[in-house]
Amino acid sequence: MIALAAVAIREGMAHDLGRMANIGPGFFPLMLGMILAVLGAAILFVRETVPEDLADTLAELRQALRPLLCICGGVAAFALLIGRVGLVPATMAVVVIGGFAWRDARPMPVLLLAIGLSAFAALVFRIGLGMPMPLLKGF
Amino acid sequence: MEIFSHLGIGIEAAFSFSALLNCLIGVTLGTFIGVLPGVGPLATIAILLPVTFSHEPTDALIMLAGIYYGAQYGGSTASILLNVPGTATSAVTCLDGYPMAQQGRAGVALFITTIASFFGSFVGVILVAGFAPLLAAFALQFSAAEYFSLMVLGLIAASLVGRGAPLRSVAMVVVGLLLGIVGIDVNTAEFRFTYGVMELADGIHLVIVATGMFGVAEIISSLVRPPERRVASRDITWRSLLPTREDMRRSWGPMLRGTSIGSLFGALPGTGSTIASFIAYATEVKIAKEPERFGRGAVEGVSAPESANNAAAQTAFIPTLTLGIPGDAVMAVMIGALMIHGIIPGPRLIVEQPSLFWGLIVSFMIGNVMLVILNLPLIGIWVRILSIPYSALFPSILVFICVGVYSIRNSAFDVLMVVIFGLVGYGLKILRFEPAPLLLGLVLGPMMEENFRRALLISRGSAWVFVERPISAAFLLSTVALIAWITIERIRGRKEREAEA
Repeated sequence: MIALAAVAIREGMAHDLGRMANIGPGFFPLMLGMILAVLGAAILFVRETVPEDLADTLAELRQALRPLLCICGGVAAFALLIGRVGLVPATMAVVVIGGFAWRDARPMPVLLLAIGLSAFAALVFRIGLGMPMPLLKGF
Repeated sequence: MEIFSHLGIGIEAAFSFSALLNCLIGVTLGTFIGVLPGVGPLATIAILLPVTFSHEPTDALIMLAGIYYGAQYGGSTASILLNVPGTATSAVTCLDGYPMAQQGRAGVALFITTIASFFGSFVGVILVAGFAPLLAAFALQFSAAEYFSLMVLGLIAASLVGRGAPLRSVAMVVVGLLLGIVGIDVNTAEFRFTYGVMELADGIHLVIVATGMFGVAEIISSLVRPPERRVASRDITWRSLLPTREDMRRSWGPMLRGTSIGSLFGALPGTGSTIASFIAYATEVKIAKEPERFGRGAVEGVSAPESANNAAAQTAFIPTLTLGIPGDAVMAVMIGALMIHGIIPGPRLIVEQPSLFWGLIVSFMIGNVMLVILNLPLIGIWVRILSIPYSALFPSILVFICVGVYSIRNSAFDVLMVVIFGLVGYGLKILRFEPAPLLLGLVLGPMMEENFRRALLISRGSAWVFVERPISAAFLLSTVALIAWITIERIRGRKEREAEA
């Protein structure tokens, strides 16, 4: 069911995108859009073998909630912090937030890992490879 | 002899200090991530791609390629000791490798896989050196129409033959192509699909999609279903490595057959090392005098797939370097790496960049020798690496992804895009869509449109150009034949299943 809905949404999007530009630069996208629409419809009707049923998928999704939130939150935190406070705090943030995606994560090991990894990142990327990013900013 | 002067150029390029260092880093890292289940070569190459921006193109390629074929060596270690494939390409090796380890013959299995891997790789490299220039010479007569048709064939083949349901895979290719043309249109300077977001003007960087879909999404699904780890044997002594005479006698045939199968499937578009290793294993079972031995620790079941996947990993470079058509997602990232360095892979590459091409060939040979050293005397280190807990591993990968993507152009927006592609990637995984075809489409998208337009421009708008030119027509015909064949197979399979039910 979810598969079908997603395909339908994508199909709709593909149509819009295809017609956006005029003939020159729009022709190729339009062509692709139409192919995708046909494929989307085909997937709807043909129903290739999808082994798991809805209940299983939902159960997996419920389990996936914590990793999803932590991992994505961690990476997003890195994105928001790196420009403002520099590499070291941003690395700490991604490890601490992301680290709790592990079901049995405890604060101390995660914190230690965060310190270790941010030191490592600072050494390798800033000093070793000379990437232009400040380690610490605004303090 | 021309080949010697070429190899001379290659030796000069590959034996420079920086090239040797990059080769060593590449193969060591490749073995490392190959040994670790849950980290694949694709994500690693994508993460390290930004690091190589500042390198010479030859050095960068040597390192990235080293990760790829190094992972083929390392992958079997986890298969044998953990019964969990370190990389998808050594999944079959579990079938007989793990039983061997349970019988206390882990050392022998590791030894045989290394020898088989080396043999397969070496033959593969020689084939690349021999065939790539020939294929390139042939491809020089290709014009835009041929390229377009060849890309159609490559993409369709890759999505139909690979894992996953064919319709869904083709749909993923098309989505990838669409993602590939996001940004400023090179011909008219018009913005497409940017919706006013200036960050999208340069297009969506390959690294972002690859790390999101193969890095972040992979981590999330590994955390949902944590990989089980039980090391069958921790102590690998020198003595236990040595195979008996019987083992060696049994291994030669499978190695030769595995290498042939691997070389062939590696060079074909759409089939890569994974499929090659499965077919090599199936072949051995089929021709064996006592097929019941397989699955219970038969040496043949280890040596055939391991030589096949390594041979395929090398010959996969033939279409990638000479035609610019990647056979699988890893090769797509390689093409992306070349293009970032301003090198267009294609038939002119060997002539215009001889030190890159021949340097790469020679580095493959050096790298394989390094791998044998890394994998035999130092096997104990890799065995210990297996006990690194995933809870320490995945945050490290996250850090690498974040810093790597940010470093492409110091853009926090790019890092947020990784989150989005990670979510999309995980969603697709749940819906049973394969992300690999999408990546192929993403890389080929701009090239395909370019060639499509150019072909139509030359033919003054006549779409018949694609079927009037014989080589182009042959490619399109093969595509149609392939689609027809897969469809018939599917329908027949369904009927059989219905008949059984």
